[in-house]
Amino acid sequence: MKKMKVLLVDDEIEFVTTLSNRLGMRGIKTDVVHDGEQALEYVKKDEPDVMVLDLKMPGMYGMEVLRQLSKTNPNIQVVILTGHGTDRDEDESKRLKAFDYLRKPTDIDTLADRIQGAYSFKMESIMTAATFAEAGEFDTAREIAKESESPKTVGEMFKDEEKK
Amino acid sequence: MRSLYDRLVSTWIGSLFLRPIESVYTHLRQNLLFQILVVAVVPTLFMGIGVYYQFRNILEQGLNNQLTWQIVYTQKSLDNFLEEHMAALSLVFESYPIEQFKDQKGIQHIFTELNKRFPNFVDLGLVDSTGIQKTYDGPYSLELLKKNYSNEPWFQEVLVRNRFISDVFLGNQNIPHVSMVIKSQTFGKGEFWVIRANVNTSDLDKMVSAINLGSEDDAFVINRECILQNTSRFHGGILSRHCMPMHETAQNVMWTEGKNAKNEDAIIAYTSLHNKDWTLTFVQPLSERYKFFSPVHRIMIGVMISGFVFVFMFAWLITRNFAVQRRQAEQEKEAFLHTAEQTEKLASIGRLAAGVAHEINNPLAIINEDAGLMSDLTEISDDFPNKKKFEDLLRSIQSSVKRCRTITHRLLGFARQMDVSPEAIDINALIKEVFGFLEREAVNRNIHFTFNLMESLPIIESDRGQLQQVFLNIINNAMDAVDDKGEIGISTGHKNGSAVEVKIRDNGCGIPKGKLKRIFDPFFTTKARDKGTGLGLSITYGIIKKLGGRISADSELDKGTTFIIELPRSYK
Repeated sequence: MKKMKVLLVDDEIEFVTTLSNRLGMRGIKTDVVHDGEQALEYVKKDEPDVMVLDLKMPGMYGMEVLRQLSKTNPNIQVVILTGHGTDRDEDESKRLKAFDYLRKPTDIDTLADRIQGAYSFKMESIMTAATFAEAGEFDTAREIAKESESPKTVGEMFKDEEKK
Repeated sequence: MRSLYDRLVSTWIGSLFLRPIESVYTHLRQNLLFQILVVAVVPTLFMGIGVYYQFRNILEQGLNNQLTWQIVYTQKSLDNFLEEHMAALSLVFESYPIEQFKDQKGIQHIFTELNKRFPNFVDLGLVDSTGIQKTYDGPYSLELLKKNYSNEPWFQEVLVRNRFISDVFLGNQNIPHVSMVIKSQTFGKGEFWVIRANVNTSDLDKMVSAINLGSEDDAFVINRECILQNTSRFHGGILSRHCMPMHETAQNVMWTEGKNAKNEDAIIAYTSLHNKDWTLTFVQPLSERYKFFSPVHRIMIGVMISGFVFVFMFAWLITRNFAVQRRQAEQEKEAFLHTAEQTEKLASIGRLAAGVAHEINNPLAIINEDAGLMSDLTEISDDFPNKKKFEDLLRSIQSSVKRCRTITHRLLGFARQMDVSPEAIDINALIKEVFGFLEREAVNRNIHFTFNLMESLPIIESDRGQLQQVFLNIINNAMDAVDDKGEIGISTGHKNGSAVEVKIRDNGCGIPKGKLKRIFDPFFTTKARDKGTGLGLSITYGIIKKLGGRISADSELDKGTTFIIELPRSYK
């Protein structure tokens, strides 16, 4: 299995740096960006598996980032981590298929756990699709792939499988 | 937590509703009562007075008519008395030849005959044209014979008028008399004769007393010179002088006002006789009149007073009902407005709280992560001096952050909309959540909570924020009702399969039967004035109704109170 890539998006530099350190100590390597635009830039270059996203940030709001990702990169599992969230935000993020919604301050172990969970969920979806693909049921595989990731990534996935 | 919510709300409500409502209504009622009384009493009073005077006038008229009639009757009697004696004398004078009068024996015979029919004649005499007494029969025979009357006023008078009646004088034995004189025709050479008879007038008193007299009334006869012609009761004896204010002559009965002998205000009625220049006078002091009216006074005053009492009682009842109804209506209105305002207020408080919570969450998250990192680093470090102490301190920081987080998250929970926004609710969890707000006070006061929550309780659709408020109110009340170390039990269960039932039981002071009915009324409170607004339960009641549920209470004095809340599975 390839190594999990996690992106932390938060404007509170002190917070996000410390968080990144602590996650690193727990075996989760993370990259850090400080606003929505940077996050989208990053995603274009190197798509992460899991994104931990703050909502209230200068410039582009977290919710807007999530909305764009749900169209362009639906296979990124997003965990919202915010101190400002309202019920409406929570409902909206669930509608946009965010993996989870956490409120600051949160326990580090809980967060680590959710990041792992998000990654596993993504992998399981892809694996399911791959299994169907192996069995020749490409239609089903395509449907599952459509639900969880872009066709291009599914293609890559098949290539990876073939290499093995 | 309880104090934040409660203090904000109760201070605000206090400023609005703790003004002296009672006095406003008392004042209103007094005003109204006064107005009704003025409107009812003043016309009644005017009417009463008007009717009284009208009635009195009629009575007075009646009384005057009766008196007039009696006075006229008496006047006629007096006139008749004089007239019949004069007529008798005249008849005698014309019936007998003059020669018989000239003869002493003859005149004795005539007088005897006259006296038989008219016993009031006391004597009879004949006087010639020179004024010399020729013959006489009567008690004064000896003195009067040959007496010269030519200079007597009556003789002068009869020369002019032919007939004359004198004023009363006292004759033999002090008996009152009048003299009646008649002049004959003139014979040749200017010769004529005059007969003179004295008449006892004691009967005048009897005739005058035919007027029906009250104890203070008086009636008498006076002549032109104000000399009484009979004996009066209060205005002097016969021949005494007493002037009354009156006109010279009066053909009919005249009425005037003046003073009586005792110098009291009096009504005076008088009329002149036809046959003599005398005046019959009737005097009645006003006090005597009032005696006659006093029963009328009593009846009028009695009727008026009972009327006023009736009006007052009615007005009192009407204004009381009015004030009570007005007060109820205004209370309802105020309670309604209040609920609306309170909802708005709670929403504002919620928004404020949410803002604060949000702002605090970010720095809190930094503290949390920094302390976490320190703790992580400490853990992987080698032993260093005070490592254990550091670990303890970091744990303490983290647990404090956790506490802060509980508070901010709860504030956010409270910030939810106050409109009914239905969502799926686990009542058991909600109760625990509300209990969380009150836990600290419960621990401080050593109040023991027991929970008996049914595990398979269905999830219901209802409004979270409002249900929180409901349970907060009721549990708060329960905590106010119990002493320290009291017991409060909360249980949940099914009701009729479809509804969820929550019972909140305390072992506090209880509510008396009479007050139990009113606990959901706005402004009804058993708490001290500055503690309770009397609105908590009415708001609670309103919310439960709005959510389609029911709330009721059972209570036993000194044993405790149980509130039972039923909530439908789905809102509406």
